[in-house]
Amino acid sequence: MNIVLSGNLRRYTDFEGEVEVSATSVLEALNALIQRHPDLQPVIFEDGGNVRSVHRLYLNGDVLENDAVERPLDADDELGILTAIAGG
Amino acid sequence: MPRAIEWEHTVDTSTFSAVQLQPGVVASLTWNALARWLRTYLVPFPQLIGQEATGMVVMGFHLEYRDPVSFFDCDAFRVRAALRILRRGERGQLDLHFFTDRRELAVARLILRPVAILDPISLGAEPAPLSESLLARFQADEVESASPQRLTPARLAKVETAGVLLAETSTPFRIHRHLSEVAEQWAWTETPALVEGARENLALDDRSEQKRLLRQCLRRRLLRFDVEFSRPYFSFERGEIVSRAYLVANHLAFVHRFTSARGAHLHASVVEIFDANDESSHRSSVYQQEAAKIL
Repeated sequence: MNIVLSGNLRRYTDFEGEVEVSATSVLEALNALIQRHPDLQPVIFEDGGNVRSVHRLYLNGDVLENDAVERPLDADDELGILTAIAGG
Repeated sequence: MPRAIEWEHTVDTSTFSAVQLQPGVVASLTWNALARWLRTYLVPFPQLIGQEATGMVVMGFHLEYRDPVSFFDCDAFRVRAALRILRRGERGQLDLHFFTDRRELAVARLILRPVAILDPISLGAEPAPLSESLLARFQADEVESASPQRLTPARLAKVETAGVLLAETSTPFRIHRHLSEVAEQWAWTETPALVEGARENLALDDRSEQKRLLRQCLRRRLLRFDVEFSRPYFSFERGEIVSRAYLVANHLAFVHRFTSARGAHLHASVVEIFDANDESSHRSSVYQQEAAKIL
């Protein structure tokens, strides 16, 4: 499956916009992403392990609640991470 | 009286197109005016974001050209801008005038939404009213409960219902760094330049049956530029501008919709209205006088 990253998050993936991982749930996918790019850990997750509220998760284009991390994934799913940004 | 900042902007050859003051220059000066106002009366922009954890997201920009003014008409013009806070801290409105001693070049309005920055690393944020401590630094007459007017949807509906569709096209683009700002998203100030590219693609298309009519936009003055923003583009993201040209009561008008590359999301809507008359007589006479001096 693919994880699609945008904006500031790409700084942590050497500016790759899509990262392919093997995962059966959203949480597994995020952990696989962080395993490959460890600097993303504090950017995506709060200290308590929840996805930071500034990020919005999308599964195949549909908004996913940030606490829906146990949601199962298929191999052809696309998980998007979009960050609400302050600026012009 | 709401406090204003005012300064003189010296004209260079890229300040004007062959027709008028560049809309992109107005947008750029508008954003800079906000930074100047904040620095003079509130806190500098970097401090607003870095220490006050507050950002300003642009919701809309409205530009109205006034007197026909060309490059050869002024060495410099003045910019005056005043900021008001609306909806008790949930919105901001910056009103601007661009003028010389004898001419009013344009007026502009910027609609802002304050956001609270929740994450200093990603600059992630969510809408939030200005903090009480920031609000306290505004004068009483700078804070209102009224909401800002949403001008773009009404203009867009008027053009699309009353206008005759002349042509349409799509222009793909990518948000490279030169179109981006500090938070790795598009700089809204680049909207007019992106729109101009899309519009000129329509006007220069030799296959168009309406090309003579469409090419009026290359020699006539833009009178109004209204944009409402729906969502940002991030740096390196691809997008598309879907442009449609209309004739509305002898005015050439364009509607541009910024969409994501696959068309799934609307990012911004723009309406442009052009002068119904050719301004070339005014421009060419001034130009010829100046050209005569140069040559």
